[in-house]
Amino acid sequence: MQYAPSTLDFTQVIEANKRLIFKICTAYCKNTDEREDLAQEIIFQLWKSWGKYNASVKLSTWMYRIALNVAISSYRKEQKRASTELIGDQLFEIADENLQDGLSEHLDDLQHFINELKVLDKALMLLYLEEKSHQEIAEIIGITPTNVATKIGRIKEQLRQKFSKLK
Amino acid sequence: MENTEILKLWKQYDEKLEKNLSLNQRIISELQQQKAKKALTPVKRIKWGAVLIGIIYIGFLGWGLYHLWPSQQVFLLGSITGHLLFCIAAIILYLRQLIVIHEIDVSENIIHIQQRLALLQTSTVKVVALCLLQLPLFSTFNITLSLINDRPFHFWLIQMPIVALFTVMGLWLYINVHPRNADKRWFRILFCGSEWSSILRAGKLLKEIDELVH
Repeated sequence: MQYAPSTLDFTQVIEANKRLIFKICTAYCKNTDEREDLAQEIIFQLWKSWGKYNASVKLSTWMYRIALNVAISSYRKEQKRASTELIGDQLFEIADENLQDGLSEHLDDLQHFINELKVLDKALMLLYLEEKSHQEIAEIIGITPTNVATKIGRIKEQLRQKFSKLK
Repeated sequence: MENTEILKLWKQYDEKLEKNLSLNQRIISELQQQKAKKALTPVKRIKWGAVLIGIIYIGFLGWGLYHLWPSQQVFLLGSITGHLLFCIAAIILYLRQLIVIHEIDVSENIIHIQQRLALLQTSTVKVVALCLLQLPLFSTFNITLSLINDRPFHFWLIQMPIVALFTVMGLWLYINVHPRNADKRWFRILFCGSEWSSILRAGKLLKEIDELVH
């Protein structure tokens, strides 16, 4: 589904994609404070670019590009960015703090595996888990679909080996 | 665990997030209000500040040269002129970086943007290397013709070894102040703290991009 800035409220788009932002922040940040800072920066950058959104690109592609670019840049800088004045309260409000309860214990292992990946492999893995097509992943990352298939194949093999060791 | 099970697990996690996660709307509206206030990032502010100070400094050097010219103090004139040229080159490099920062659009693909940002970060090292290359100029400004003619012993045995030392040091630093040496201890001392680790990370990211693309 294609949206245009004029027809859809920014806040609604953020609300509809809150899980995307949360998952990227969790993958790229070690603790809750860092996750909160990164989420605020991602939303700020999305808002800054909102007026320039071009509907010829899928909204999800556009959002992933910005969110991942901000997350990777934040990793590179080490010190927290200051382009936004961070706001004291928590952006994410989680009703059930034990989000992983009731889900397979393997989720924790999976998240640990994602956290250990290199920055760009992490982006590939997240997009794979979100079941994006190779074509869309290629457009987000900036490599060919064939290259995407090869790289994801390698990461999946690493993941398979990791889980087989846990048995 | 099979891939299909992993994807299923991720989907269950996503569904749980959908039920439990909400956003603080007040923060979102406050972030939207920051747009106009924070047009300039700290990096841009620092670089614009450096350019401004550099232009004032060049003006000061130019004013000095204008008043010294013509003069018998050829070494002083030569040193100031050389220093002035290095400063102009450094400012041009900084301005080029500012243009690159201005052109960056975070909604472009990740490889393109991260490559540009990482190269931008490592190019700061090149500006420092260029500034260090002018080291010998700081040992030549006090040379005069009377020093060469009237005190040759002092000139050849004291002044010239200092000039030679500064030249070797300047050249060595110019060649070696490079992101490839970011893991060396002396480099870490020269680029202290977070700046060093940022350069190191930028170098690693460029390597990772290279591996991913090829």
